[in-house]
Amino acid sequence: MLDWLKINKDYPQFWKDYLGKFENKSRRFVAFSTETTGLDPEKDVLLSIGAVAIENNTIVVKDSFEALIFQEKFTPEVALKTGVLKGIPDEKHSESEAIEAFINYLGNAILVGHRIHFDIAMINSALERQHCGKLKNEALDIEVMFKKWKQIPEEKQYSLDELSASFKISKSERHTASGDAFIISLLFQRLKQRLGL
Amino acid sequence: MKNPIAERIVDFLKNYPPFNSLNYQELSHIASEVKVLYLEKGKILFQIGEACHDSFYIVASGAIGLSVTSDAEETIIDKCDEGDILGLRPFFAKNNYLMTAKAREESIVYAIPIHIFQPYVLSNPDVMNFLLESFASNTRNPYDKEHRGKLISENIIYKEQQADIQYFQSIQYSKEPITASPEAIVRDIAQMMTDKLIGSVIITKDDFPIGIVTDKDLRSKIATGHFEITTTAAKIMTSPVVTVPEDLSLAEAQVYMLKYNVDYLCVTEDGSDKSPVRGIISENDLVVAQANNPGVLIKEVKRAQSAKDLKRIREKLSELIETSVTKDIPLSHIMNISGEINTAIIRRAIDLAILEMGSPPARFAWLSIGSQGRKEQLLLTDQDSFLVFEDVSQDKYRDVKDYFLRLARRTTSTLEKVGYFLSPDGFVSSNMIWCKSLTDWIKQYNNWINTPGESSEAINTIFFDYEIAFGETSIEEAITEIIFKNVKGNKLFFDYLGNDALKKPPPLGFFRQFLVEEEGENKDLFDIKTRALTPLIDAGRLLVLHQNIKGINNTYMRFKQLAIVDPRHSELFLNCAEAFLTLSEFRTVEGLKNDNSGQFINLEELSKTDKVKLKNCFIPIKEIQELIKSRFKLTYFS
Repeated sequence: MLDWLKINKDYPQFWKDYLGKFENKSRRFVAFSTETTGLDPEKDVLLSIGAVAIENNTIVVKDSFEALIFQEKFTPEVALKTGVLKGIPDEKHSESEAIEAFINYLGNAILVGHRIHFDIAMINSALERQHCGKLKNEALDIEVMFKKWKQIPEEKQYSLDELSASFKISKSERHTASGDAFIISLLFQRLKQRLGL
Repeated sequence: MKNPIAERIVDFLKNYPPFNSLNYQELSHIASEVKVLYLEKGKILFQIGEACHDSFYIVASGAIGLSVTSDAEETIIDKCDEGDILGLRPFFAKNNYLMTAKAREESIVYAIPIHIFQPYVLSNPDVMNFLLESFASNTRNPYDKEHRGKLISENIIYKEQQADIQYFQSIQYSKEPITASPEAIVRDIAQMMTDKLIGSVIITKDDFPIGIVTDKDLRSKIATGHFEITTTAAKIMTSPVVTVPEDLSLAEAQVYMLKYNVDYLCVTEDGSDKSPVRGIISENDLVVAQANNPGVLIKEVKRAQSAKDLKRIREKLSELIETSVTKDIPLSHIMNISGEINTAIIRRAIDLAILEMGSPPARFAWLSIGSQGRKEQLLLTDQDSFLVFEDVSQDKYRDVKDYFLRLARRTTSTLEKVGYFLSPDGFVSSNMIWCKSLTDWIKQYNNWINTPGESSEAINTIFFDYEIAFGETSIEEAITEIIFKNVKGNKLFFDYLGNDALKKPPPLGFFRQFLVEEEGENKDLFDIKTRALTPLIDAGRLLVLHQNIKGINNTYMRFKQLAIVDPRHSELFLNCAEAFLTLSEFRTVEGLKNDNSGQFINLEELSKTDKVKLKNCFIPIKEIQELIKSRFKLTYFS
């Protein structure tokens, strides 16, 4: 018990605030997506985070979040793949600023993502660098929800493009974290109703 | 802060009025406050009597139906598609919604908070006017299609006209009736009626209606000299006046008029003559309210003066079909009605061509073929036709053929403007191969039937589904006769047709999975036309030709008739008839939804039960193909 308190004391203030938000269960969902330098949560880093909130199955555009993160580790290949340009530094934030803002935005909301474990792992390693713990939020994965609704075996995979195609959602503005987050939120609205959640 | 999701919404909004009158910054502000709603099919956005929401709505995708309720019956009055705005009531009135908005298909709707949008309305006259007009006319976009440039009041009538085929709908009537006092001089009343182009004036005392002066009263009492023209209204008015409550349905209004033998009904606040006048319903209002029934549409077709008129009627027909499909009116009825109206449109297109070109130099017949020939054309699909003219002497032949080719060209181009695109295979009368004399046609059919596959042109089976649209019925009869004379016992012909009928790609694969398109723009969609409907159509045609059943061109009716003629297989034939209707319905619904020919179905959008329903239709297809195989002993040849 005391150990826990001690560790808690070393956390940055925003993380302590965050931990304090979990007394009540949230009715707010946050659809989010990240853009990264690669697929290894240990070595790769975040380039951007995009998110939008869903309440009462309504997407609240005002309650959205975007942070572009200034990274040293940046190669032309990454730029080509993600379309995220290194760009003008003053539009971007440092990782510590971005992650703090995101945690403040997130609160105790339920996370929604596509292959969300990877996004969470990326956030968690960024948190670790800021001497914080891991995310405590509940998380839902729309790929899993889709397979459950269609009663499709676990091992089959559906990309975000395939999922949006099957619901005829137009894919304009893909390959930005915010664009993906919006598409995830649209898919989530549908799947949530289909599954009767 | 930058909000990329709001930007995405701005990109959408800026394409549609009234938002296109606003600048980027204003739109960004609005978009950042938008809430995105998702509605499953059938889900209600707002309901009659519900308190107004704090937002109005714009359809981002899908379709929302607006309906009113009269006599416990729901009547769709408008459909909002992508970019249409709805739910404007809170801008203008504090009372509850007067309409129900319900998703007619899966839809995404943007909710825009009124308090955010209000400042832009007040500061921007374009926006204000657009909203006012939209609200006043019930149409979401007054700049739409035909409405352009028309007055608001005209719009109302127009919208109400397309409302419905059925009776239980409310009537649009004059809410500001002209009234006069009992002491008014008849001459002044007559003058007022003439100036205002109205047929009646309600005579009121202390706001309550005590009588009515109509054209009829002026005719029978003044013009005959029974009363002086300077007499007072009280002397000649018809009293008491028949009063009715507001929100009367069409059926009720008709009953009242018949019962009291009057042409006008006075609407009062509580329906008695002891309450203030609220409006007047004339017989003409009833006619207008019924304007969308099929009979009226046919009349309108006959009066149409241009391709544009016909196009508008065809649009009304689409609405009629859509409401009928959603009301579960049997598809075979809808096909009949739509077939008649389609034929009337073709006939009128030919009429218009003849009016311009002068009368034809010989007798002729215009035959619709393919889906229209079978009276199965519900959606706007392609036009197929051929033209036969009577035999003329050699020296006249060229001129005559030339006339009919020009006639056909005019007609098909009119029909193209209406929305029937030309047959991709060139099966139209304006094609010189398909516009020829009766003798040439008899030769043509002889060739097809007696030497199938030998000549360079294969049999075009759609030429065996024909229906006269215009001209001499004796020509159609001659063709029917030549066909049946030639096919009787013609083994070669039936072999050929039978093999052709079996050649169609199957709907299901080995594991009973749907076979979908593997590539192209329709990848992963199910081709319901080629894989399911055509096999049934082909089978029906082949079997009626074989059974010598004349004059039935509709696939549904063909199978019904086959069931009577060939009782051994009646169950199978009836199943085929039903399957055909079910499949047609799938196609029609898909086509109406996507505003196309409905040929390709997106299976992802079907519910599990619909998929099962669809699959069940394939059982009779397989069985009928087996029957064809054994009946024409095709296994030995193919």
